Amino acid sequence: MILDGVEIEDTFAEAFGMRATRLIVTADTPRWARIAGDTATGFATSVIACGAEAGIERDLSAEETPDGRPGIALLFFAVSRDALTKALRDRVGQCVLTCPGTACYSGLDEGERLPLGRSLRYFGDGYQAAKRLGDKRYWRIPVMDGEFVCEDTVGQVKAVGGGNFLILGKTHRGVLAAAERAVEQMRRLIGVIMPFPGGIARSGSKIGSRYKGLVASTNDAYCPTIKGIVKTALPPSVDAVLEIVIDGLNEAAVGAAMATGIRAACAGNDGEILRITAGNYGGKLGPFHFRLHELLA
Amino acid sequence: MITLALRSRPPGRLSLAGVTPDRLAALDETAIAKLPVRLGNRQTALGDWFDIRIAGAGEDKLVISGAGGDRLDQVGGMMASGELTVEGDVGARAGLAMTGGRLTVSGSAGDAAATAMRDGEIRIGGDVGEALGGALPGERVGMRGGTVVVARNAQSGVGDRMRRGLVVVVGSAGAFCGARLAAGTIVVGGGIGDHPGIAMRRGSIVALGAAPRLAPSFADCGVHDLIAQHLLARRLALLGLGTLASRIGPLRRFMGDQAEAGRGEILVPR
Repeated sequence: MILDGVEIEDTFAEAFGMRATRLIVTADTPRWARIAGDTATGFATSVIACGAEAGIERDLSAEETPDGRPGIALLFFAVSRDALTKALRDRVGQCVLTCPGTACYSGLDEGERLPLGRSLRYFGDGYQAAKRLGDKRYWRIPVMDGEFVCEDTVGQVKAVGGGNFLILGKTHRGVLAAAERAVEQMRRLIGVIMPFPGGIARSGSKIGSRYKGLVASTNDAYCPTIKGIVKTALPPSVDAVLEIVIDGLNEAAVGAAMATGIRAACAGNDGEILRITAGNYGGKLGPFHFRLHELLA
Repeated sequence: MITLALRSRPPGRLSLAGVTPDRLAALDETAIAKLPVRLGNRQTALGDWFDIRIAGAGEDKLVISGAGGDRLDQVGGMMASGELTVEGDVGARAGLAMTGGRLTVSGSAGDAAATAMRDGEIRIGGDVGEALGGALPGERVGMRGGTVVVARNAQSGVGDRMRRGLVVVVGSAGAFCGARLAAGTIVVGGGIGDHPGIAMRRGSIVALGAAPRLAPSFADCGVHDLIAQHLLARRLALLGLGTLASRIGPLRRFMGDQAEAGRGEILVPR
């Protein structure tokens, strides 16, 4: 398949089941909501070492939030219910509770509930108070600028992590520009995040390493500077590769994001981009397979 | 929809406990007419007092109409789901131990409405008597959940020993409002009587009328525009109480009763 002069390899991205939730963080201004969101989703590129993968889903207007203030929707993904619970407790406790003026709410109603405010309330040292309004229960924790309000529990769903595609091109600059185009369009979608810096990963990895104890190492088959000495997957004219990894609340959201991103990366191609491919492990590890040709059909 | 038209004002207190839309939905007119109801200490049948009409089958909707409803006690008692509408007044203990559904009274309600209520929604178009949302005799806690909205005034003892839920009195409330409150939220749009929140442990009393006289065991914690107030205002707006919601701005917070656990709050205009 050729799309805007770019070869779309007949392969698939292999993704995995994860647990995910959405948090809504509000603040006095959009700026402070964004600061809270950036902080809470920082150092959350990969579950390999971060405990969770997280990102900003979208900004929310005051009309869209529970308390009528500007907010931001954040998505968090982890490998298990327990890992997600811990990541939420730590990240909200350290990054949202501490941020001036913020409040934190569940952005998902479905699924088994995870404790959040229920865990963080102890920071109130006995001065915390629960408040139930309608079917929602909140904790009010006294802090130095007023109260930190946090929903008692948050919903969670079985989600999909590790959707991906790789952009192969002639130069770093050209590939980066294509990846940025892709991320810009993908960020307009609901239910997905691209957890790596700026939505883009340069250090695609393979499972395992020659070094004991290292669970992942550089994907040498896609490293252009060693293509002459490894079993490379790169055509001779490719000198740069970037990967976009997608986590989504469901399979459809990840597939839609991949299709949107690939189309955007290829759009307006001036010959810099040569091929789009995807990462997989032979289809034996992850239950979700996103075939590029089917996504773009 | 099932309609029960009261033929005349009963000579005494007529208890309608258990005459609820969810229980009547599966019955025909004959079966409904035979349902036992107590007049004082005397067993009677529902058909002795009401003309019964069913329009449309299988709906969880019950309408009680006719003058003299102020002698109908425990209307909506034990109700679990569906919609019960009363065109007129009701007597004591409306919505007793209700666990769900919606009870709407266009007129006024007597004493002890929403006693031991657990869930659901009660709307009273007029006034209510004493002890709204209180406890059954011998029980440690009163209302444990649900929402009650009173369009006009409530007499004394609103939310006594209330444990959870939301009570909104758009007009004024009498003395001992929120006394012995264990938790939950009481909002009063008008004036509030003496001794509000006395012996309260937790929970919120939002008194939006003139600042009430508080016991010295309530500590002034300053004026705040708390997020919890925003959430409450949103909840009121969802209940169709936008005017009341718009009055929730920065409020002065008193915490008490310090003679008890002291974690409750009374929010008053600054």
